[in-house]
Amino acid sequence: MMEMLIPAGVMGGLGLLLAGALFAAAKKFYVFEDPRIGQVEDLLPGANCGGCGKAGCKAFAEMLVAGEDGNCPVASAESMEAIAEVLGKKLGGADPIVAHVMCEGLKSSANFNGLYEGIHDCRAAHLVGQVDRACSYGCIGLGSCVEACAFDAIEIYNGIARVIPENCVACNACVEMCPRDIIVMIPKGRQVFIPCKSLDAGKVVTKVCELGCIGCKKCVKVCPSDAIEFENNLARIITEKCTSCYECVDACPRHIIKVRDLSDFVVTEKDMKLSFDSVAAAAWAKRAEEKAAEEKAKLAAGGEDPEIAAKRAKFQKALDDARAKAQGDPEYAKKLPKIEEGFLKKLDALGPAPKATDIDPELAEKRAKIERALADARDKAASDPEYAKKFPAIEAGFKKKLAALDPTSKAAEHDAKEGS
Amino acid sequence: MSGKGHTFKRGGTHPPEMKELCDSSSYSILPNPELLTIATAQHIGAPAKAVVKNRDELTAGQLVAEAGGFVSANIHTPVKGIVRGLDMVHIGPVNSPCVNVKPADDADNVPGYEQDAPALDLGKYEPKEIIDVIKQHGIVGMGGATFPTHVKLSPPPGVKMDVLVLNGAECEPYLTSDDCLMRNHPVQIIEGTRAVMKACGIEKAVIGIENNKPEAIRILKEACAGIGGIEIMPCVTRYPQGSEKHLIETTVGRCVPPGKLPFAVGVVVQNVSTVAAVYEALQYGRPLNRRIVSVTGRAVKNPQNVLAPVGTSVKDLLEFCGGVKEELVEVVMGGPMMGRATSDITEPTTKGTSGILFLGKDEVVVRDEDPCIRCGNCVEACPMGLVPTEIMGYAATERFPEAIDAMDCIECGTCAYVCPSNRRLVHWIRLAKWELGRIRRREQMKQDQEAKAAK
Repeated sequence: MMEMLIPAGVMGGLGLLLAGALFAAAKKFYVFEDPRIGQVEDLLPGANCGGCGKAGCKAFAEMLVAGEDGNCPVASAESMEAIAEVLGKKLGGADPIVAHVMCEGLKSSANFNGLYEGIHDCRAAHLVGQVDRACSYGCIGLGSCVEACAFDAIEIYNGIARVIPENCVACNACVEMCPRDIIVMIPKGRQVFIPCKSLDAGKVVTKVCELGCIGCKKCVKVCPSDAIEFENNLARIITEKCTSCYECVDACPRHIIKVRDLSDFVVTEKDMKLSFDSVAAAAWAKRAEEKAAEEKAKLAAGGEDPEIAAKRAKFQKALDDARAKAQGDPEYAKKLPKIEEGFLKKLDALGPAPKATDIDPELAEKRAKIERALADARDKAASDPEYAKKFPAIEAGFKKKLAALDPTSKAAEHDAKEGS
Repeated sequence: MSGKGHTFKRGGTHPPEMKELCDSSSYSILPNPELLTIATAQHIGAPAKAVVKNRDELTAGQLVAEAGGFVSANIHTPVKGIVRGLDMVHIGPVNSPCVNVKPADDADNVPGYEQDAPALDLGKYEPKEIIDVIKQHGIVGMGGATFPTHVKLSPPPGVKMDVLVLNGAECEPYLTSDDCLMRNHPVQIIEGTRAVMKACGIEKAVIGIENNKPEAIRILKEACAGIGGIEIMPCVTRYPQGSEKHLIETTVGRCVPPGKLPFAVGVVVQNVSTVAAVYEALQYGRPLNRRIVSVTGRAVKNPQNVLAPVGTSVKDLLEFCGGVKEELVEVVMGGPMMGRATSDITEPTTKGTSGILFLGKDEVVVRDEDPCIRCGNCVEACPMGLVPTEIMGYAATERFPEAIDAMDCIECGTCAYVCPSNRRLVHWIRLAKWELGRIRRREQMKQDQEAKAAK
């Protein structure tokens, strides 16, 4: 019996002794670690991607708990909210950013001038300055950025890199990889930008790419808010100053200035070719409408340069005066034809006088169409006795339609409706 | 390796010389082309800053861009003409600003080297003055690296140099431009050598020439008979004999430590063309704005050496040499081992363009990379004692910090030449070098930012 108890006692005693020693050591050498670090780290994605600028998720958590602000590009909005709750902070309104490739020289638009036989890596190709594409600033398209991206957010499409915004977490890996610094981070949401990085002179750019900035400065001139800076043959839009007025989009002679909603936009070749996407198209349509309205207002106001109108009025008055004088003075009447001719020539030189009308051109067109149809019907009635019998009813119908189109007689229209 | 004689110990190879294509006994002078494109970043270091405006009228030899720092060089127009725009030009990976000069109708062609060049009166120059003249006349190393010569001749304080090594090895196959200069104008080279010796306070000079140029060796030996301190040393024809470090090993028997310059062993190395340019600057006040270019290769009709103004386009040189006679597969700026292929025939020549190769289809082998078979040929051939395949492996797996050996590579191309699997070894090593540089720059930037933040 004792043979068993002695070892058990010894072991038990030893255990108690060591436990006591451990307990004492834990008390003596206790280091306080903020429990929130662990909590925050658990909420972070744990990808250790370095996108926040720290060595890993733990370092980032320590930074947050230490009171500094930061943003994890990978974490979802919910987990960032949860982290904010742990830290007793409010989420800041930092704009989400997204990578974007500042070159759209697709295979269809950028020229090729050689055959690259070296290593399949953009950096290596850039190093020897020997790439397939003729532009010395544009995307090389060998896909080093695609390899660098851990989130499948970038792909080579038709020979050029493009970002898939919904996958992009703005970790900066592609930006750092690109040897030509074409990929940049820009805020998500609607953006106006010039996707070109070429510092070449205009004549070189026109030779190597259809979609390159030629440095004509038109956009700089039309920009009302000074948001386009121009340096080394390249225009660049300053995002903070841009008010999205799209003046530059209209003005660009190469149609390369883009309007994009980068939060959910994917570039397609068609877009590249047309040089603007649906968002831009809507903006363009709106602007076209506005322009049409302006034209209409101008037309209604006489639609003429006031200077020319004044001249015309002057000549017309002189002509009328001369005619009136000729009636009273027979001597003068003899000279009148010559004088008249001179004035008429001058009037002709000014061009035809505009019709002072406020008729909507659309309505005028409709009316002309109906009138043409009526005239056709009348001709037919003249040759076809059968048709002639029906003609009065048809004519009445057309006339009713014409009356309805006349904007001056709303009452007539009303009557016509009542009548039917 | 042909014959016995002076050479370096480790590695190397002997590719077919192909020098017979381009006759080195004479050269022709290029008539002024329609437009010269003078790049401002055609040397190592800071690009020069253009000092002329569009439509300025220039006289021959006028300064068009001045050095943009200590390690930089002045640039001069070769001919009388008018500035036709300041643009960008693309010389390989370098996007350089450039000055376009349209030669005037009555402009003379660039002058040839004088046949009866007189000896220099070196008594009237202080060593400092010689270096100053070199700096003013924009002289850079003409062997290909285009390192500003005045920087090379101004060692850091405390460094004592005792030997000047002249590089006339011209180990690159095809090229004969240095050979051509040595055979035709030995006086310029010998006198330029004396000037550089005086500038650096050096008593001894060695001209290393590969023994496949017997004419040049004979002519230079005759020219320097009676002039003390200059020795002509025939070397074994073996690539890369013309590498700075290997030429020092061959001629002086000293070994430059890794990561160090020839200063470290008291040697300064100059190309023979460079010292000829030094002579011309001192004797005639002529800036470095023209050079002999070997236009060669089987695809060009009349391969020859051409004295061309700097900024001549590849196209103009090709047209002068009779155009293409067979299918042109590749255009290489420089030699076949270290040169760079170009796809742009409007590319201008620079101060460092010693040759342009127009290669036909039997001279170019285009083959895909095969897997490394661990044969060790590249390791045996590497003249720097590196393991190219290992560096390539690190580079290919993005482990750049481990590929630090790449920094010792001289990019001579021997490993890629001997590789039976056609691996692009030099290209990978260059990539590793570039990435290492990028990593270092980023670290520097980070440190600077932290230092700024700490303030």
